[in-house]
Amino acid sequence: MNISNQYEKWKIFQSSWDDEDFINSLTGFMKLRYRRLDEKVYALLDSYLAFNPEKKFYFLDVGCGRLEFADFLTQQWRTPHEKGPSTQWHYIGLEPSQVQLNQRSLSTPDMEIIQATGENIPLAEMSVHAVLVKEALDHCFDPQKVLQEIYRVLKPNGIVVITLTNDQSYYKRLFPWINHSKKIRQTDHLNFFDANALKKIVQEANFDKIHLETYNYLKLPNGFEKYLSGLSENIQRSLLTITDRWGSGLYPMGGGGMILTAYRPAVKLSIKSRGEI
Amino acid sequence: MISKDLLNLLICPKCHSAVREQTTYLECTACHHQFPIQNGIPLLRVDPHETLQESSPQNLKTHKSQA
Ligand SMILES: [Zn+2]
Repeated sequence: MNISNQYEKWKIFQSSWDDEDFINSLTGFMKLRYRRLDEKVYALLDSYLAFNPEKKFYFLDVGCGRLEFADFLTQQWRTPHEKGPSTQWHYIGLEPSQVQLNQRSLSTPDMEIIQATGENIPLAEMSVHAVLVKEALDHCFDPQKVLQEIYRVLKPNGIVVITLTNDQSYYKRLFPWINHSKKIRQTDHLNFFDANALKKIVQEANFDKIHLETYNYLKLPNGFEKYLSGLSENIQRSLLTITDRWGSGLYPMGGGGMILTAYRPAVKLSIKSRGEI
Repeated sequence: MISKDLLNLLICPKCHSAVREQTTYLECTACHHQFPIQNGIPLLRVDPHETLQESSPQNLKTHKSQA
């Protein structure tokens, strides 16, 4: 597909990206999968903060969509068991799609939202401590440019967390024709990444200390997942945890989802020029 | 109203200069491009295709004269 076709595709889904029905159709088990991802991301940011304590933590959520992660953060801070974050978070959400912004939840009053693309982040150089790109890089028109922009806005030693669907999970390898027909129907994904491809573009953007792991090894037909949704949350969680442990031992990069962390090096490197497009 | 904190970080997506807040929009201090603020959200979206064509410094200059 050439650039202008890709661009048309991008324009269309940006202006018509309504996933209300999709979200309403999710089984409880699937929702738990998403919540586990938020928990994993939060744990990563939390441990980053433990090693790099900041009084005020500037956090940029690229492709914040309907503010799912912002909502998760608010819930996290509201839990009575916790004293709340010792750091003051400054949440900045970035989202190009007007439809997504219109559908955002209204329970996140203290968080700031900007309508902008990841390819052109309207923030000054070295302005944030951490950037999250949660399930969004495959929707971007130009992922390389997005990573260059993230590098630019991150402070030295700042962390980027990228989560994505794995295009080479073990079950996509086992049933390539299912994956292929799904891809054809999928109108909102412009790019598909496996572990190597994701690491490669992060490396090319000059990031340091790149670490990638996969999770979500449990994949069952819909009927089974509906059945699992009826079980207690503890059982569902244990199933996911155990299968992730086994799976990552047997087939390290084969889980359904990927989580990558990387850092902007403390020493300033020159950003590679992009050359012709 | 956009917080002062955020305003200090925001830049013009067209020319990367600082922006200032006017009553209902943000204005670039260099190219004077105006970006509306809708329900508290500054609309600073420049589509990637535009960025691709305008990423060279020469073109940035052209932008200033357009504004
Ligand atoms: Zn400007």
